[in-house]
Amino acid sequence: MISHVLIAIISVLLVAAYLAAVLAGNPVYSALSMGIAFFLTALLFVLLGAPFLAAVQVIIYVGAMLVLFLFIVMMFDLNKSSLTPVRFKPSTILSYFLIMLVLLTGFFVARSVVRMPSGFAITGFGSARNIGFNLMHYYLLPFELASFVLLVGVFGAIAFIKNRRGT
Amino acid sequence: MVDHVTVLIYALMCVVVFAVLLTTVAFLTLAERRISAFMQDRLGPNRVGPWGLLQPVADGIKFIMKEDIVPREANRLLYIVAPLMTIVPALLTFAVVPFGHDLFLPGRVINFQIANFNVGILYIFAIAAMGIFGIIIGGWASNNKYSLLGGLRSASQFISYEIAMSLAVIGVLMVYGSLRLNNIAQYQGSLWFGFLPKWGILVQPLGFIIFIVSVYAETNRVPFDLPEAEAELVGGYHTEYSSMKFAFFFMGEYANMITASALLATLYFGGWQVPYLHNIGFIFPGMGMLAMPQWLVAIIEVLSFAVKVGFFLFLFLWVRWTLPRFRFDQLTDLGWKVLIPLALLNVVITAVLIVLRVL
Repeated sequence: MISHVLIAIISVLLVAAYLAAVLAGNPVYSALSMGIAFFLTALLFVLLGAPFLAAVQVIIYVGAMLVLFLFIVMMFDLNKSSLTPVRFKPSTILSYFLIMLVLLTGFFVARSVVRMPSGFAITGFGSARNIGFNLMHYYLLPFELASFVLLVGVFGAIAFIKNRRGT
Repeated sequence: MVDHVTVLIYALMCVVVFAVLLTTVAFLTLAERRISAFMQDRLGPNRVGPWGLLQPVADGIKFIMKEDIVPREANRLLYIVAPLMTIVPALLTFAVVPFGHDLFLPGRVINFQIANFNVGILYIFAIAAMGIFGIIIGGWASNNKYSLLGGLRSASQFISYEIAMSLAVIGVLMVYGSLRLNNIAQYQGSLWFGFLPKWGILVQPLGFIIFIVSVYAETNRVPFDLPEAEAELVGGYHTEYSSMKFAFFFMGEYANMITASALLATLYFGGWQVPYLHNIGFIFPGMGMLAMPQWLVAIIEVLSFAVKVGFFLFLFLWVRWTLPRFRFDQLTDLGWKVLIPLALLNVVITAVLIVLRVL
């Protein structure tokens, strides 16, 4: 019961943090509220019984991605906002709603089509051992494909730097 | 079912660990100056109290009495929040460090550890990852180019060395098969070939070297203290800070050193283990045993942990006053071109040895 209330509160804060990330005038504030949002997501994972995902969420998103974002954003001038503020034209709001509609439809379609593998909610759900086992047994192909996509990304990054140096 | 006495015991343990941590931080600042003085053939602060032992108290009073300056052009909110973002995660990380074997009392089991999370070491990495933002934000919010450079250096240094550190730890996790620091410490009590205690340093020598180098970089200590290199950046990220805000950055650094030393001891030197000491006393392979009451064993184990952590803290100070600072390109080269490939090699070798059932 308490966890339900906590999840509701955190969800509201989460939406507020992401809104702040989009609407903040100062890029550093944007990055920081995104960090808060990542942290709140991790809290949600903890409350849903997946502490491993929570830890990984903070390590990867806050510890690596956000540091990189801040690294770039900090180069902007402190007192001059380099971002143009978001303007709410009717077409913007309409397109937001359309995107939301598409995403929600996708979510419900996926939920009705994809069946959770049996024995999913067994004890140890969300533990490191269970996630590792599932990744290496039932989802090996998607896992390897994802790592291949990342590898291509790494090659792309290296290719960019090589071209810079050459000219 | 959680009974009230157990809750009370753990609450008391929180208070005690917190007090010990802060006291150690205070005396570590004194130890730093005394030891550096001895290494440079000086005396160091020895005027306040016997052997200068009350110097931390004098320092604390001085920090509180100093004028608290906020630069006019600084971002006021983030400037004030940044030191807190450093000190709070630094103190939180110690929560999962085990400092003794489980104590079996009639009716209950007491862990000598505040929180026995099942993600254990990942919790430390996650919280430590949030601690870096204090330095980055502090450097940016000061609106000073030296501070900003310190913050930027801190960001890139943290990312480079976090990868090597995590990969080094993966080797340990593969050998002991658990994320819980308590279990990792416990498994190091088992014997290898019948007589060698299976400590991390013996089964993961390369991993230990990678880990200790990365940890020095992660805690911003010499030879990797580039974010506050005073010769080129005035004071780095804390140039503009004064009074208690500066003290928070300072305390955060020392608290991180303590957690890092505790991790080094737990992952690679058996944590609270003493070789051949079990719950009932010393058992020497093939040479009989020496029975001991449980409370004596517990005291010996906590002392053993304290001695190991103390040694690594001393090593931090020793290295600081012995080695010169790296240049920044050397630092990034060492991280990306030497430590990360070596850490990957370590993971591969460990995996092969585990498959061959040597480890």
